[in-house]
Amino acid sequence: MNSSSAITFIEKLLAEPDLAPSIVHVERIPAAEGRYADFPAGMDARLERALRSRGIERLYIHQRASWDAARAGRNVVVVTPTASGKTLCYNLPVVQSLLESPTARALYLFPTKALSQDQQSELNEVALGGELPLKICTYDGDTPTSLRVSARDTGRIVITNPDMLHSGILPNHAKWCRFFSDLAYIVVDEMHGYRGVFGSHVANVIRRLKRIAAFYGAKPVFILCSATIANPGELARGLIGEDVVEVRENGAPRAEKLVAFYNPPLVDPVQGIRKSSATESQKIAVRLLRGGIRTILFARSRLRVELIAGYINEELRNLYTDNERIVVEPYRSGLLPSERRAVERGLREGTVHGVVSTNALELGIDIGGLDASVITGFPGSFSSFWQQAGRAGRRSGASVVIYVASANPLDQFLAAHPEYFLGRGAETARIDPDNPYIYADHAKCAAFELPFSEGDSFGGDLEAVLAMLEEDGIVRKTGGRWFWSSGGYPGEKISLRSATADNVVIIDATAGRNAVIGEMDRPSAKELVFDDAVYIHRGRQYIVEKLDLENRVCRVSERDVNYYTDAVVKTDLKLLTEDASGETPSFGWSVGDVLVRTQAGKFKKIRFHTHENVGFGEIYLPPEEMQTRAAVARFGPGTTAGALLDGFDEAFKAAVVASAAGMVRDIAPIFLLCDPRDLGTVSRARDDHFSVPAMYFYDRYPGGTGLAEGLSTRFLDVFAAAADRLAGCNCRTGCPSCIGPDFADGRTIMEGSAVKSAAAAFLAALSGRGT
Amino acid sequence: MSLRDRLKRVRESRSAGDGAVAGTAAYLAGSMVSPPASGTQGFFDGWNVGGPVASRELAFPVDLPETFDLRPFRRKDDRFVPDEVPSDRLIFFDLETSGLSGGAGTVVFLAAFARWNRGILSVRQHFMRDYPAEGEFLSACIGEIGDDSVLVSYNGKSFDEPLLRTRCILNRMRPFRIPHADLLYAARRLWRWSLPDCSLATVERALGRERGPDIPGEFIPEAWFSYLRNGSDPRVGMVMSHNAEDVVSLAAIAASCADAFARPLLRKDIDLGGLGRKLVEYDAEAALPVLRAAFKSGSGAAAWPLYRLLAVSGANGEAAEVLAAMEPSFAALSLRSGRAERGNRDLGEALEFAGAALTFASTEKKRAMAERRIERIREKMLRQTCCNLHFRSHE
Repeated sequence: MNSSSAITFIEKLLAEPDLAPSIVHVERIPAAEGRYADFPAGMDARLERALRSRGIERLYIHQRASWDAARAGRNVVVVTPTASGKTLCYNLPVVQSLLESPTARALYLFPTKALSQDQQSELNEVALGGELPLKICTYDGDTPTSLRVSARDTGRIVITNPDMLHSGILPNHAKWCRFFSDLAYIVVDEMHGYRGVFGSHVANVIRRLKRIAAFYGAKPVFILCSATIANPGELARGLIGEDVVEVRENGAPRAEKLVAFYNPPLVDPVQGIRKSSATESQKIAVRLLRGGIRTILFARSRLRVELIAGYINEELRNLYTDNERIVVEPYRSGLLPSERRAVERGLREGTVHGVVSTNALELGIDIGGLDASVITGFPGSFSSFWQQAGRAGRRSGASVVIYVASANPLDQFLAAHPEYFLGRGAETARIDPDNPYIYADHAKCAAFELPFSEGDSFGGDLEAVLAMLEEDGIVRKTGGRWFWSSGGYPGEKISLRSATADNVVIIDATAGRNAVIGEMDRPSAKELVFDDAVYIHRGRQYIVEKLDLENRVCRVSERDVNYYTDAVVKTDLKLLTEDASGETPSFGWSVGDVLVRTQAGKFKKIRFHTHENVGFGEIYLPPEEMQTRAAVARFGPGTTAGALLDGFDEAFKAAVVASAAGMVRDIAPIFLLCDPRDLGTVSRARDDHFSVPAMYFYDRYPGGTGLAEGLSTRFLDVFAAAADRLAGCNCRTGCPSCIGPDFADGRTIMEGSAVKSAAAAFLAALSGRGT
Repeated sequence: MSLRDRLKRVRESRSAGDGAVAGTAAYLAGSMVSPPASGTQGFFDGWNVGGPVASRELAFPVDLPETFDLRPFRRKDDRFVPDEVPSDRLIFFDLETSGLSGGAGTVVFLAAFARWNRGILSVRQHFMRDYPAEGEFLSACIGEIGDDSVLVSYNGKSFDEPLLRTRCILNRMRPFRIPHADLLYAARRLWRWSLPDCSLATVERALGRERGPDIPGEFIPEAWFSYLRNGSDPRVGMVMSHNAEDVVSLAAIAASCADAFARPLLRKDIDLGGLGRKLVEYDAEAALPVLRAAFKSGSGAAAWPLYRLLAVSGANGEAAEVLAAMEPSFAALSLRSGRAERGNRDLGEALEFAGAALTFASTEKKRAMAERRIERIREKMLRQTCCNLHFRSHE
């Protein structure tokens, strides 16, 4: 479909009488001309041939700018939207250098295994036309032992992830002696993913990487790539600890794009109940697909992905026309890698016309460009919204993004205020490589990898950490050097991510079949594949016969039912120890260990299509428990904040404390240099432990990463900043920039503005400025 | 006299106290290297402690053949290991380390190297007295490794050698490169079924070597750390004797393995099937009687190599017998069907075996193979019947 006919079709679709009234806003993002630069002089003839064979006769200006910087030996960060020829920004200078110098090597760092796979196939098949004499190897947890040696010894480009670098490669660097000696480039793709605590870990892994490279005499050049964030240069400098050149001007041409805001029609105007966003987005997707528009639909959970994909296929089902020859696939984690690869390939080659996905396809997996992106519910951050939106749009041919609001208050606010949505910039990514907890862990790993000498620099306060390690007998200082002097293997015990690694394998045991059909991490398994759950896998329905957590298997059998299951999950927090505390005139605080317990105790059976509740069931599984650190702010009767709360009834008190806690949680990352997802919060009008109103802020990394301690010393600053933000917000009844839209749980009965002004007074009191 | 008996006699003679060898003060009664006197530096008795690396020499009587056959120990990736060497060019070695999981933070602090000459195993040990001495320690170790020698170890290909190589790289020293025979793999072939495990300690006990008080391997790193912290730790003395014991055992195990491969049918303590499967890789003639004996005594592992050997050498009758006596499996039944089909043209039997093979087919591919076979046999049978009818009609 060419550009003008696509736009005509989309405009016609949006004007159809059953859709048009629900479209609250359409934003036109105009087309942009491509801006080009010539191939650089001196480009290897083989490389040029490979490019020309792919139809590339010149470069975009950003590709050329990153070539110029990298080839001049300068670190570079490239900020580019999806589908702007990002991979050539690093592949060209790297491949050129590797062709020039027969020993030079490059390390590519991707956040996930799936991305490295994708990158390897792209490098092999596409970027290099399969002709260039460069050996490219993936080295991760899935690499068989037999291939590991050859990757180390002869791989010219080695593709891995931060976790493997941290626990596999760096601790065994002597085996990589030749590789490190010849290391010329380090490519960090999807850099925006390295933020918050995870980013702070990765920054330290990069410190270790640079230290090892230096030991072997190498000084590699970094090329980093990022999706749009507010501060790419700052993040890049923080991650690699060196200066970088920023390339922000995108030269790729862009066709016109429409962004339509769709708020499902009201079915009960009195109670404000709207049609389900799932059925509405499915309806829109089917119309797009029938019109020949290749469509990606983003849904927020794995369950929704399977449901919506199933509905779409049902809608299209027609024996005689072979579903009108439209192929739609679900895509989510938990599918087998081979199944995922097949869907990706189908999308690239055009044999798959539509895909329903979780945010798994938000990352840079190459699926080519699609014509339309339907986003069901706000994905949580503006960056990921625009990444999902970016999946629609090829270099030519207009595209459309349809955002379908859910009943969630945040979605309803955004649907009512598209100008607010469109005016928001991308989020800022923060890291704190010198966070003492994270830093000490990596200094330990670094000491294992090579002894430190007096005067060595490694960011942070190295001497202090080494003195502590020496006291604990983990390192031994002698002859001006600190030697690792403990039996352990520190990388093993330190995880870069909060998620656990153990997976449950899902086995189809229908009629003696015994086939693995998928896998799932343990916490999700407890919520999705408990006994008697309906598990939907690529449109097929299975009943879970037995979830055996001990042996990490889940046996399912195929069965046609007319309902699906949804677990009711409760999160609970318990204070275990109180290690430090203090009092201020306005509030008291404590820091200690907490147990965060998540339990799926019941499940609902929900009928397909009508979504009515047709029954309940019990789930008999142990809760998922995480021990971590929390900072608590307490509002006892003797404090000014406590006194202020005393005047409210319980429900109003709970709403005020919760609103203020939400504000604090949103503001705290600025002070703690972490990501909002690193912190959890629980607030109580009357705490079980302290018997007064309290807010808990807990670290989402098991064991804690110092965020609770950091927050406890800066409560006053954070409260003051939160009070300022709230006072400066112009909304009347609460909005996503402050205490949230005024519909959140149990608050519908209250006037949003009353909660807002009470929360403002409360925060002002907390920061000591109140009356 | 079998080697086992000889080792036993050596042990008896030692306990009788007449086994001392001139030239070494530290060779003591019993097979046990002296357990250290407790006390501060007692474990350095007998050591040359002049520099940051302490060293000592010990000697033990060990019987080895003059020429050592390395073929039983050679694996696919051991291209450099020669067929045989004079036994005085073997270097038995064992390392004690600061950790059991490897990685760049694990150091070697104690090493034993042993060379054999005319019945005597001379053991030299080097002990690193603190981290800064690592360069000198490694030089001392590499100095033990001559260019024309062959390293012999127990599990050293996976652990000790890579670790020593890593230490050299980290100290910017050129890593050594000489052939290395790891006894673990051969030991597993011989004793996997008869011993609970094939650790050095278990195998040496089975060969009749007894140790006195010993320190379990998992406590060794802590002994070294404690020595570094406190300047002494009595356990370090035990580590030193443990290390020396290990290389002596290594030589004894090497001797026992060599004897087993040289005269397998005289040994009662080993798995002939496992041995035969190795032997057939380099000496088919010698392997045949071994595999036969193993098969007779019920070793399932011997069946296939024996069958192949017989089939290749044209001993078809015996090959068929072996095949018939095998555990039924897809491969065995398919072969029997094939033999019936081609060899004696008994199509009925061929069909029967093909059908049985089908029930053992565990993959799609095998199922398809069996089905094709059945179809082919049926067609042949049909053709034969037609022919017979045809002939009959002309009678």
